[in-house]
Amino acid sequence: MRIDITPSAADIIDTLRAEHGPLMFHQSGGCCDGSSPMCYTQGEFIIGSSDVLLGRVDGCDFWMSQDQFEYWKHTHLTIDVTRGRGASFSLEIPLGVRFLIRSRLFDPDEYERLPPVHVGPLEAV
Amino acid sequence: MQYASENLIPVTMELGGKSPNVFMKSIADHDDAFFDKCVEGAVMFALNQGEICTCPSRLLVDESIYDKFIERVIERTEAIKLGHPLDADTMMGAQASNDQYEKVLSYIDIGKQEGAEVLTGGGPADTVEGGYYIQPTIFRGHNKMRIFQEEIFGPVLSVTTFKTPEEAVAIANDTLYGLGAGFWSRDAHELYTIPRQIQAGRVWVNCYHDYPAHAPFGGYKKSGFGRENHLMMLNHYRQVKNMLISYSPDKLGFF
Repeated sequence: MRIDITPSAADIIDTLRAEHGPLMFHQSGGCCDGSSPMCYTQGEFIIGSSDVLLGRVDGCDFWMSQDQFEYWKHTHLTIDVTRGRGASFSLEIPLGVRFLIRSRLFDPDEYERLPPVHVGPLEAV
Repeated sequence: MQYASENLIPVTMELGGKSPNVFMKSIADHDDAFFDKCVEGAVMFALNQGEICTCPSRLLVDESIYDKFIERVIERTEAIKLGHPLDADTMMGAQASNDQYEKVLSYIDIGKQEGAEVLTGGGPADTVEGGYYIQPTIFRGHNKMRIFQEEIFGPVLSVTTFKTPEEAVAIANDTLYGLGAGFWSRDAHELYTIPRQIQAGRVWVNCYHDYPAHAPFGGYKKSGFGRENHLMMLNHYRQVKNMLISYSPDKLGFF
């Protein structure tokens, strides 16, 4: 498992899902208010052939661009949330909070056992 | 950009960066005003409260001058006075918001986990109660570490060394981004040849963070496309029109 979530972040997702329906994440690269996970309604962000699916957490697919993943793949990610006034398009902003990523290194055994990641859009369900 | 594409609306973008700031060995030939200017240029990483896309956040130093240079860079960094923004002595303020503050601290954490050595700073600062202050932080590590590859948007510098100009260029370009870059040398040949090899929209040579009007600004690679702040920028808002006018009243003569 590459991706996890804190209970407080899961609470925010539940609040957002009640209002917006199914959700997804795409990890932002660098830009103003970037380097943070962006939360969208499912399908609002168009997944391309160069996006990697790291896993599903609390019902949300978590994506990242493939070239960025090359630098991130040795780290386990946890979606957390903090007070803030981020100015991005991410859905939680009006709540006065901001999702952020906490990271830790995989230990070598754990890294060996990780399943391969999916690349590109999922088949329509 | 996805929304613009749905309606075929053209866009230009200036996005993030992870700018290399490259210091060649000739900078340390003399301990003079220029060497001091180089030290200042390296320390400009600390001017980042959460908004500086061109932050010189990767310091690349010739291995042969590393010890001499980094000693001065650390000394200057530690002399930065954090403080209240209305205090005239303050050189560096707080991060712009709590979420920015938490994000920067999460990057300092992953830098330590990845084995980067903290040369100075490395955590929050309790400068003013309730303020989102972070110590200007310098890590030594290698360019594949996440702190060398991701835009931290805070007063955090990642330092590594190179042995040859070729290696300096290779490290400078080993990034997803290409917005700004710095290049410092006393060698007139290097000043003209090496900055051309750095894949960045703006390369400051023997200076950093100048933003004069009419100087094109924008990025290579994932730092965006299009340029701003120059006459050529207006072409992004104009159309090339081609009118083909026939001078002849006569038909072509077909059929």
